[in-house]
Amino acid sequence: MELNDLNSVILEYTDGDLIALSDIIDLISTIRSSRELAALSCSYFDLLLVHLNACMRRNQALNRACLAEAMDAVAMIENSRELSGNESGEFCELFEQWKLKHHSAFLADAAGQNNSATPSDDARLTKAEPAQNPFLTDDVFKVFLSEAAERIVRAQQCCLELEKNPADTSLCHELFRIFHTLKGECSFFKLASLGELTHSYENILDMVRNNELAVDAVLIDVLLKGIDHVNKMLADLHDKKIIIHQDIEYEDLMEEIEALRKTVREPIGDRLVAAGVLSESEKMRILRIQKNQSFAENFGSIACKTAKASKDDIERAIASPSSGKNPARGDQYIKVKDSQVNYLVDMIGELLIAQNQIQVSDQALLSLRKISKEIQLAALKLRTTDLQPLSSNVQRVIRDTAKKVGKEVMYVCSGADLEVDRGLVEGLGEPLLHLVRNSIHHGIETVELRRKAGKAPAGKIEFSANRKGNTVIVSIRDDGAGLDRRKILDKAVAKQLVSPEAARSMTDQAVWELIFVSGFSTAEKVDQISGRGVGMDIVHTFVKSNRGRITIHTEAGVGTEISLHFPINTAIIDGMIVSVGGCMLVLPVSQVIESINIDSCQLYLVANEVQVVELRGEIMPVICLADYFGFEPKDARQRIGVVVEDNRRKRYVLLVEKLISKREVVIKSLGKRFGKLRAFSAGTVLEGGRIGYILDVDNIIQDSGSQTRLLIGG
Amino acid sequence: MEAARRKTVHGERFLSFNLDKEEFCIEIGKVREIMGMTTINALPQTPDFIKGVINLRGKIIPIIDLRSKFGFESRDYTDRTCIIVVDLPDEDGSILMGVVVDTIKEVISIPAEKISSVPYINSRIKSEFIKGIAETANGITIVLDIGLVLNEDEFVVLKGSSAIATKER
Repeated sequence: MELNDLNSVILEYTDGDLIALSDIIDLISTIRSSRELAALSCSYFDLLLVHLNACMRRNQALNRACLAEAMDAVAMIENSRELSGNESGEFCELFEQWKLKHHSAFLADAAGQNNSATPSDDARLTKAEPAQNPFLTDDVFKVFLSEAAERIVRAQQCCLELEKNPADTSLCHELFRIFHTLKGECSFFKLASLGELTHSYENILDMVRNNELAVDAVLIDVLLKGIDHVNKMLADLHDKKIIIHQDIEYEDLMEEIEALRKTVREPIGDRLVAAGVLSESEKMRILRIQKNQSFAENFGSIACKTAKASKDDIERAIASPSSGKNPARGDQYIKVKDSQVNYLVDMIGELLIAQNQIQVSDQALLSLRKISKEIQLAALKLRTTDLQPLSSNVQRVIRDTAKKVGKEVMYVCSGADLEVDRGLVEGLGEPLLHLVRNSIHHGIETVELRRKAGKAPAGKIEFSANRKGNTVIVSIRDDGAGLDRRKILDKAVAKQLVSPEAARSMTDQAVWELIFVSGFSTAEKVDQISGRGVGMDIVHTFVKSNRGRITIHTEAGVGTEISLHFPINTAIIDGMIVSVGGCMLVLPVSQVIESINIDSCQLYLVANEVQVVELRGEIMPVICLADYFGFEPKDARQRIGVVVEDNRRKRYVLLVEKLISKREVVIKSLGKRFGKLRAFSAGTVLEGGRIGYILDVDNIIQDSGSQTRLLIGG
Repeated sequence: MEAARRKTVHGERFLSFNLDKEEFCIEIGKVREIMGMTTINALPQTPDFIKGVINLRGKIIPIIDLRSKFGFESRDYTDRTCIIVVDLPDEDGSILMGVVVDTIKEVISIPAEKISSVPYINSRIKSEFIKGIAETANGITIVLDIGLVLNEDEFVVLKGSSAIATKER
């Protein structure tokens, strides 16, 4: 292990050997950035780094004794994954001492770090805010927060798995470890209330581990509630808020935990009786023997000895642990800053642009292109993560919501291992939550209704994710009643979202899309789950801001599927480059249907207002981009029309002057100052350093007048 | 110690430039670089004083014509016309913007007490853009607060509405 390497390097080091010193620093940094470390060891390393860098600068002798001490401590922490609570407290104290001994000297070295460590006479839990803790750097704390968040996600997964599979003791062990680690870290960061909470959970899980507490619905509920609470506390900490200790909810939770601790698992004897292995009197006899032996042996072994029950029976009764399926420990992780990865991806984008400007055809250039494409893909992968946490959140929401409304809902998940841009995964949480709630509330029928309709009593919600070409599709499908055209339209007319006349002629798809309008809700009354009409609006806004689109498939009585389509890559889009009035404009290829030559005699003026063109029997409104931007009209007899589709799947023709090319472009922000630009969503750098603007087709269509839309009944 | 003394004697340093017949200057600390005129890509739907955007080593930055921003009559760009790229602090980091001026003059030091806050009476330039007026060896220079000049929100006008307007006529 690296720690051993480090130890040997330190031992071999002679004063003044700067190369060896920089080796040590490198090694420590590497170890420090590897995810497997506990936060406590990270702090050791951070302080060591400060010290070593100072030594490096001044060519000073190393304080070898202190290094050795720190390495010992780190090795101990790392080797003992099964630290008990007391031990981890001990380590914290050890660290405090070590820090006191060496840290003031270190800090004097580290220029600019004037907040010297004030000796704290009580290294035990004090209800102090982390920010007041003088030596904790923000970095260490951030690492703690992000690791804790990951642990909690895993804990939630474990809980949900445990609910399905209560006999799986490996899950209990994992949960125990998670809370245990959290507790240790909390005491290190002096987060008293979080520490208390995690400590209580550790105790509960310890009881579960020792078979003193049964895994049942109550336990899972309490666990999940606790996980929620830890999550909330972590979020508070993230925002640098102090955790409020007098939280009523928190007190309630603690009481619930205490109550749970008192209800101890049904004794093994009773279970054996229930299983018909022992009779009541035999059980009593064994209990008496056990008592006479002052509980030197456990019930099971006595039962075996008295030959009343076979070993198998007992093992069956003590729900045997299933084959431990610990998550495989695959690749090691390193922590990298977001901004650094983004910079890398951006620069690779630049590289591709520069490369595209080379106009030579050469075998070498071809292979260079191939390689840079590979590099680009690899770099983009750095920003991806799988959808596992999303899936477990969805599962969680389904479980809670279904319980609340008294419906039975099964959860099916497919494709959660799809790798998607991290930003997208993080953002998707909330929209998915609303979609799922909506499905349960409006889609899935009550058990009676389902029975009547001849369906299985439990509804089914399926979360699926897959990739098609350059899009990622995330969908939520339920097997409920489907969307009700009448109900939606009635509500829309009542809310004056559409006129009664327009309502009659609306296509089904247009009707379904009404549910995404802000303030729209078919629920009769506002309740905890839904009804305010904001949820679907959140979905819509999120999809739009990520350049995605929504499709709805619904069938009365069979179910509804709402799919969110996102471009796989948020930084690069396939663009069709056109020019209008000397401006280079980029149309997202995802919205382009085709491009056609249009002679001005093919254009008709309808109602003296709207230009339309007829194409293969379909009449489409025409938007002249030169007019739209107010450019001088050029000789416009022969022009090129690009057929585009807006987010309502209506087709329009955009008149442009020239088609330049079709290729991938790297999206570059035009800056916040231009955030209000309607026509452009972003810019991009094209050949020769020219700047092209990426068109926001939907906005342009909207701006081009309502009469256009009226005409085609949109 | 030495640096502190120099500062009190010579004051802060400014970059001075000409615009029409007047001399202006801005803090040198805000200046990222000075470049000659390059091709500017026009950006529709923006006010006239925004000449467009340029590609500065992979970053798209807006270019503001100070003449038209301050309402001086516009003049063709010459080979003396320069773009001053300024770096302005922003909520999330900093924002780069280019400012077109007639000519760059020099870097001067102006002691803080030499900048008098005499109200500069000029209907064209908003008084809050001006920190004060300073007298230098070469005459009078107007000290601009370039951050405020470029901090206005009106970077976008809805020229797009003209398309509707023509149709409705």
